[in-house]
Amino acid sequence: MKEKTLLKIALITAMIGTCVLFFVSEKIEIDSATIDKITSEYLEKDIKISGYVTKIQELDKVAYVKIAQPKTMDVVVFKDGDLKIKENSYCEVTGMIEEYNGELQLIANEIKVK
Amino acid sequence: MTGLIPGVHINLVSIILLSSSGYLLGFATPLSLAIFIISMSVTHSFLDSIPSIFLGAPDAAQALSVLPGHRMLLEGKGFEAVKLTVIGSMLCLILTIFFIPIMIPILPAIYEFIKPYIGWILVFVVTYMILKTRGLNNKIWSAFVFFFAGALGIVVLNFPNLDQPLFPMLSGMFGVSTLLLSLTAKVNVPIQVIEETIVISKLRMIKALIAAVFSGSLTGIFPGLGAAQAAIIAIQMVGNIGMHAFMILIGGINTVNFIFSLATLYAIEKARNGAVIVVMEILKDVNVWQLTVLLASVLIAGSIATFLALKIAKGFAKVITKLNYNYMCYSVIGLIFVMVGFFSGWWGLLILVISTGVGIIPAVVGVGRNNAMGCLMLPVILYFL
Repeated sequence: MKEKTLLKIALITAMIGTCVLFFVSEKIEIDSATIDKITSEYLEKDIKISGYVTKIQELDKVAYVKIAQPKTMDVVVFKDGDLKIKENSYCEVTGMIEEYNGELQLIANEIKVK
Repeated sequence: MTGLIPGVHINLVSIILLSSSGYLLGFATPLSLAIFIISMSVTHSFLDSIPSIFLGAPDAAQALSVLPGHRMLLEGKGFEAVKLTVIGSMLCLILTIFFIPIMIPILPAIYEFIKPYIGWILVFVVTYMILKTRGLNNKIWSAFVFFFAGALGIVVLNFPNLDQPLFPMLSGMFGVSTLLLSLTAKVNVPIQVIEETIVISKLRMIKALIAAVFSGSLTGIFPGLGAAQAAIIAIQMVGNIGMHAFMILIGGINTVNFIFSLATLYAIEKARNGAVIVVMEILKDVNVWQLTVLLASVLIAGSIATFLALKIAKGFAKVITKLNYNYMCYSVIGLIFVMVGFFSGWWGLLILVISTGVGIIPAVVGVGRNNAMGCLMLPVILYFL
């Protein structure tokens, strides 16, 4: 195979493929879960939870938020400006489940106040 | 075994071990499991030069523009090339173990000092890497490959619920693409000569070892910086040291890159590679005695790996001309596809195909494949800026 042909194939595959991956990753719906069903099987998985904010502890660059459903879960928010949620607000949090000191927590990627 | 299969990174094996650690800890203590992972990783860093030298070799006509290891293979000196990387690995392993106790007390201060500037230092490394490419056309291609791979890296690392995202991406960019190119190049590997003695200037060897320890240590401090970038920094330090010393340098960086991350883990509690992340997960806090035991196991594993690497390389050198090179490449590509399908599913296979395309571009246009490391460096830079 000529090098120019190989380069064309490689460029087309890479460009179209990257665009497809980008649009798919934006469209993929992340599963919602109830806090009482979240176990260590969800570790490193992206999930979505909804609930009331019962406690907010703000530090310099990070905030620890407790979400109740009524069972509670700790959500870690890496701040990028001011935190838009307040106590008692109802919100939907999307993020990844991680383990810290033996407890499961959600590392927030996106928070929507409803 | 992991070091002998191109495209299979030790991080993947470590993560499989972590996922089965609950079961394994029923038979072994956390420290012995950590020793197992560390020993396996060190052995991997000694053996992974074997497939990269014996497989994925380009056409002889391109020999001047390819890596010295492949050039030596095409001259019938594949065993000699592996032997030099093993010498580099073993000597750098010993030097790094002496160097670590000196570095540990000052590492936290160094890290705190450079932490606010990590993003900008990485921007400087990338800019330098692109600007040092010869010719305007190649500079443009280098920048294109870096940013394209970077964009792919951002998409892949943020892809929802994808298991082992790095495995298909890195296997495609650096594994399958190399094997596919060597298939299209119709490689004829000459009969390999097994030389027992290699003559090399002592000064060049010392230069190579010092540069490998220094630049390999930087990869432990800076996130996103890999062995390829360390090699570029090392070459700038030592200039032209000849093919033999270069192979020692490459072998050394690969090993230092891993061992120094143990010091980083202990001193600043940062894990710079997958195997060390797994060790951190298993041990939680690493104390000075555990670090000493891990470094002792590194030394023992390195000594055994030296003999293993030379034995296996000798075997490879003898059979490589008898085997059908194309079938061998097809088999390895097939194996990588099966493993990616198993670990990362259908999306993983798509990522493997796309990143193979990205990995082919630098080789065809004639720029360094290290630019494809943008897939990790660009997301890290954006995180720190």
